Amino acid sequence: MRYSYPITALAAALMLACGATFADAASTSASHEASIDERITDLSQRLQRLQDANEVEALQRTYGYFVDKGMWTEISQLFAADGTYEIGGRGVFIGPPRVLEYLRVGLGAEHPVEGRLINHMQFQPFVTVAPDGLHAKIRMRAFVISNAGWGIPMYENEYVKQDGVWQIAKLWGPFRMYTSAEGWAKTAVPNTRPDSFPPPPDRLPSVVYLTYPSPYIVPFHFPHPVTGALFQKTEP
Amino acid sequence: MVNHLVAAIAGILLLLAPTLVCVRAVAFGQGNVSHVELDQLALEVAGLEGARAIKNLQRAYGYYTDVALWNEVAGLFAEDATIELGSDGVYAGNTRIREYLTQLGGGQVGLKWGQIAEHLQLQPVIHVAADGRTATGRWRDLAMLGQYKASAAWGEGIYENTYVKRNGVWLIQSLHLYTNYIAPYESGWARLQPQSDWRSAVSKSFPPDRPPTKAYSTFPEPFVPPFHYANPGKAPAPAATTGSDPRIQALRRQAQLLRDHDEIENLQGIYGYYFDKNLWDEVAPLFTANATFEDGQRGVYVGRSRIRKALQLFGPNGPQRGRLNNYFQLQPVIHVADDGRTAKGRWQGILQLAEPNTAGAWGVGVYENEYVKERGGWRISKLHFFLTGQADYDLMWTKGPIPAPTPSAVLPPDRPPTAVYRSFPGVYMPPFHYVHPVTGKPISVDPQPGDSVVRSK
Repeated sequence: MRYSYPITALAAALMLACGATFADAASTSASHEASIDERITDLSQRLQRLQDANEVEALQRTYGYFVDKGMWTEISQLFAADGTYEIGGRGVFIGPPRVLEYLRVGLGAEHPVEGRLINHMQFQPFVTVAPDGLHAKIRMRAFVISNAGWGIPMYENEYVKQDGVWQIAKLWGPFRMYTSAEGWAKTAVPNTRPDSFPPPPDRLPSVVYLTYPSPYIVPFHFPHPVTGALFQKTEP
Repeated sequence: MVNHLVAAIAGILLLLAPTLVCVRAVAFGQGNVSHVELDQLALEVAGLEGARAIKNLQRAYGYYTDVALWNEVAGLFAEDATIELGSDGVYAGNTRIREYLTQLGGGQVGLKWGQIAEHLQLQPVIHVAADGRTATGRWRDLAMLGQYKASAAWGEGIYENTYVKRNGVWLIQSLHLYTNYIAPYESGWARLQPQSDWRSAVSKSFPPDRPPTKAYSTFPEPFVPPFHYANPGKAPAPAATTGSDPRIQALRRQAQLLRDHDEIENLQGIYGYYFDKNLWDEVAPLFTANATFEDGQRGVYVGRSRIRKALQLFGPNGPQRGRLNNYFQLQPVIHVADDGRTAKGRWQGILQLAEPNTAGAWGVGVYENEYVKERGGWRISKLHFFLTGQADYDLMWTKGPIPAPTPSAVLPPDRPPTAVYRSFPGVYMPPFHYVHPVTGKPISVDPQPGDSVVRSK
């Protein structure tokens, strides 16, 4: 988030004269053009956005803790009523009941199974909370340690705040690379397809792409943090 | 231009009459609120936003690097920034940085078919300076490198970076990756041999602007990348200020809770960075005097001095040649109590271990920890690492599971384990300290579902 306000010498002088720490000139100057009430509202909203960012991160990290232990019901409850779920190339599942069906039918027994390790650790969140405070996006990645091998899915997810509670509006997890325990020099597991295993999806995959060893750049939801340039979408 | 002149003159006049200015500031306030008080709060909020912006910045560096978008990567750096990777030396200016990284990546923008160079950006410890204009950050890099049908390697290292805010935007001022190891997938980190010259080929054909700032050797040699921060367990924390107006007080409380959240994230990250290097005299002060420490099936140690002794169970004090003790601290879910005095946190642990003449090992597990804010700041009051699985590097999970260590005979714990469980291939589900984030209901788990040892319950 960037804030650009006009800088005036007046504000600077005021700050110095009153013995306050000379703050970020950009934000202090704004200040003096705004009324006390406006400033309180602004600061209050900015604090709320920070809180929202923490909550959205925690939500996605909790998703990961649930996957680790096959907690399919708990996962489905993280989704909004019309939330969508799309993993690898399996297509789109809409709404918590379909999410639950995908997990139960497609991924095996609910809750942990002896000898099954499927850790989907959730790392590296880049969070963007919308100015309305009701929508948010994350780019994030999973690091998968499983008894079958290694995986690194990417996520570009969306969240919605309903009745004061953040929920998953869209979880999109395209795969970057999956490999067996032999390692990524020897084995590359191809992307899944809608017919890879049951049940069938509600909608076709939103993008058809090849995973490692082919390169596919998952589009970035955020503009470049410094230049502000939007990343041009690449064809898979 | 004219406006600037007028403003400057006004500024000078005001400087000459400071008393009048302050009176003006208060007079324009409503109730007890003054612009000066709000300025202080605005600075705190900007600091919190800075920490968030810096996390996004460094994570974007990782995402762009993974897919070899070198123009985007270079654009994250200040014009006069520096980069230093491993023993390659210092490249200065973002034009040189772009060229250096492009060559390291093979000379092209974007990945070649079969190329992989993922750099996960993990475990941030961020400190924004009081003036909100500069910041420092320590991070962990976990890398998966290679070329399909040709090579695969694991990499790990520590970043010590600086950041600067210019025109309201945070930039990387310096990035320094202290590579710990790059290990072939086949043989792993435990069999690495010391290297005399480990510069990249690029640094020889495209020499750096300056030699390395620090000469050191990668694993198995012991090396501790310098810390940009003092041990928070030894340093007194600054006292929080309060506002007079109830509205300001409420905002301050909110800001303080957010800062508490960030400080706990830092604290646990710092714990991990000390633990990695067996710096037991640095780890112990992070605990409260009567804290508890519990690892896997080893039992509970009570009190800081007992914890200090128990840490020796994880190896001798200080980094040793050939001993890798990486304890990643990841995926935090932190909840600070409303009164801001206690907190709880769940963390994901990854272990990368080695001792001389072993194959090395991977480990996984979950932390459920508690924290208390003392006069000196946040401390760990309870650390419980549920080690849920460990595996021999060569044999991996299915063939080479290693049981969790049991109570030491040499240094018996003060109490038996609070949770008795079998780790992988058994399943253990560490309980959650928090409720389901959407339903608000307790997350009930059966910690140890039936398995081949205990068929059913």
